[in-house]
Parts: sequence; structure tokens; C-alpha cells
Amino acid sequence: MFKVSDLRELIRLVDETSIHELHIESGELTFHIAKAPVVTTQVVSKVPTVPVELATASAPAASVAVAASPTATAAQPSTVSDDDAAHVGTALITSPMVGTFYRSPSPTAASYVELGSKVTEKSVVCIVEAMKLMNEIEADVRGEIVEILAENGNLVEYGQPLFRVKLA
Amino acid sequence: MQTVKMPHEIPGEALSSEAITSRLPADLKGLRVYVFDRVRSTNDTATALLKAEKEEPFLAVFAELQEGGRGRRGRSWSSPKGVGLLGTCALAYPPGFASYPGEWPLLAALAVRRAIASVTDLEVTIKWPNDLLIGGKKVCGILTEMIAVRDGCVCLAIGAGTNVNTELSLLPQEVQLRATSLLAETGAMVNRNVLAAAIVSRLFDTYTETLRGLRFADQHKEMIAHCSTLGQHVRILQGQTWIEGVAQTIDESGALHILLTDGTRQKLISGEIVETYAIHSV
Repeated sequence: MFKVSDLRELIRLVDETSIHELHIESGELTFHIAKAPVVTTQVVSKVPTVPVELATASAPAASVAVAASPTATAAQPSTVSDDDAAHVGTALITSPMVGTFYRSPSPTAASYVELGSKVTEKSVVCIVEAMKLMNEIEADVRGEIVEILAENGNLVEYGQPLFRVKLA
Repeated sequence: MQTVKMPHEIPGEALSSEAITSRLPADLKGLRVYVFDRVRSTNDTATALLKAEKEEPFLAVFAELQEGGRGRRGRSWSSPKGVGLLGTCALAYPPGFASYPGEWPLLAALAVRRAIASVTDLEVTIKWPNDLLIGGKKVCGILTEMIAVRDGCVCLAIGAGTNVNTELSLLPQEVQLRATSLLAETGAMVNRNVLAAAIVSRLFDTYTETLRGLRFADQHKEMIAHCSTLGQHVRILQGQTWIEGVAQTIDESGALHILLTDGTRQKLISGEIVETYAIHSV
């Protein structure tokens, strides 16, 4: 389900980057954001009632995109169908926000997860920090960490894949 | 919670929930305020209490001693017993409420700044995003954490550690250069229960205002007025990258705009200002 907050974040993202136009098709929804001359947004629904949730930045829980294609990372805050055979049965844990990615609670502490770590929906996998707000990111899926896709201490973008999880 | 015997007499009035509550405005006297002798961290205790008290939207926890007090990135935050004010307000938004937790570190800095200013009349400034300074030295640190304690609800723990009646001469020399206390600045003891009540009441006000739609943009001018980072040359550590330039402004989203030494501009939403100097000294 696509939330108003996700849409707002996307608009902000497009606004702040050199991207002029963004087109996303996800399940029942199509989004088209174009920046010239000003940012405009169209939300096109293929069904009459769209489940748009009025919550924003709802929880530290990560957005999970199941085997999202790499070109669509910032635009897949929800589960999408798998189109990559090598990644069948896996899910991506993506960043719910722009911020600094930390794999451990402090520089001297052990990482929350390593390759091969088993996670459940409630397992904390990392922290994303922005404006000094510490967001513990939960896996939101159950399985095993098979890829770590972001570098500790680096800035991550909204929707950027952080981990790949082989679903249990 | 374990009660321990105080190793020495605490100067001034001891912290107590009754003493704090008695200083709250009449309409806030029903707020839950807890005081402990010793906790691992007030953020952790407040988080646990918010989880246990499922109906409570807001509560406050203070402690004389934190055994695992921490600042940003797990840095320890130590304070001599009985002279600092260590506290956390934990709050929960209703399920599905459109909250903006990312703005809370800035809103909390403004609220705690108002609280300290109201009790002491001192000129307290903000180092972006949320350290409180007096005369360029740190007097209060804030750590805001999103806590997953109720499904479908945004919950936050906002911890603030203030150097209140700390004798600076008792602190390590390198800390004395960068930190100060309300005692050192005013020359008089400050009643910690009064300050605690001021902080709880200001944070609760901000919480209720956000429930009515308050955004950081509404307090943006106040931030600009009190932010001592602006106009300064800064060195910022963002993850593993150093960023150096002049802090120009803070926008309505709370981002810090830096004019980099190569002449380009950068908007920061993450990073720690490690060094600040006045431009004329560079």
C-alpha cells in the first residue's frame, strides 16, 4: 500500500535531485512526477478506491521490496512481484528515509546482523540516522541475510536497498 | 527498580516525582512523572514504561544516575551523581496519526531551550541540530530515538541531559573547555525539580501542538534566531565523510545549508558538527 507520506517523500526526492521526471507503476497504482516547469504529481488509479493511508513516516520498520529491480529502488516502498530469477524467494530491506546508515548501535559494538544472520520481522538490522533521530530499522520479514548492500557510515537514500533477505 | 543508598548528600532539593509534579501547570498535574535513583538509561526506562502503560500517551522519567547513559552513536554520557538533570519524555502518537518524527530533534531542542531560558534567564543557543550551548559550551545534550513499542503508532523517546549544579572544576580539563553548567553560568544553584517541570511542560506543549498540526516550519524562525551554528565555519563528519564550509542557514525542513570551501552548496540532514570557528579566525 502506498502512503501519502511515501508520495511526499518521492516528490521531495525528485525536487532535490537532477531527476526531471519519474514514472512508477506498482501494482494497481501509477505515479508520474514531472518537474518542469514546477513539480506536478498525478496519481492514477486503475481501481476506483485507492487505499491511501494518511499516516506518515509510520514506524521505524523498513520498507520491504521483494526482489525489486535495481532501477526502481527509490520507488518501491511496497512488495512487488519478482522479475529476476536469481532473486526468487528473496526480499530487499530498503531504507525508509534519507540518512546515515549504521550497522551497529555504536562504533565499538558488534553489527546488528552479518551475512548468514537469521532475522524475524522484529529483528533490528541497522540504524538510519537523520537530524540526530535514531531509527532502528526492523527486518519486517523472516529469513536469512544473504547480501549487505550499503556501506556502514554512508548516506543512504529513501528506498535504497540495505539488505537482501532469503525468505524463510 | 532497585533503590540504592546515596553515596553523598545531594546538594539542594533531591529529585522527586512529587516535587516535579507540584511545579507543573495545573492542567498537567496528571502527567506520569517517574524518578529513579539509578537506571541504565532514562530513554530505555521510559521506553519500557511506555510499552507497559498502553493507554498513556506521554510520560517522563528522571534519574539521579545513569549507568549506561548514552549520547549519539552509543557515546557514553556521564554526569556526576545528583548535580545533573537526566530525563526522558516518551510519547506516543495515536495509530495512523500523521506525525513527523524526523522533526522532533529540532522541536525538542527548541522546547528544552525555552525551559532552561525560563528558569535561568541565560542566553541559551542551539548547535544544529539539537545541542544546547551557553557561551559556545555545551550545557545540554538531547538524544531522540524512535521506539517500536506499539504497533501502528509512532513512539519517541526524547532524552535530555543537562549540566545543572555541576562544579566545572571537578570535570576533566578537556571537558571543561567544551562544557559548562547552569551553576557555572549563573553562580547559583538551580533547583532541578523546577527545571525538570519546565522541561516536561515544554515538551508536553510541543507534543500537544504537534497533535494539532504543528510542524518544524512553524518554529523555523525561532530556530534561526537561536542557532549559534549559523554564520560559523564548520567541520562536519557525515558518516565517514568530512564536510567543511560555512553554515549559512537552516531551511524549513530543518536541513543545514553549507557553503562548501569549493564554492558549492550542500544541504545536510545528517552529520555531526565536530568543530566550529568564527569566520574571521579562519
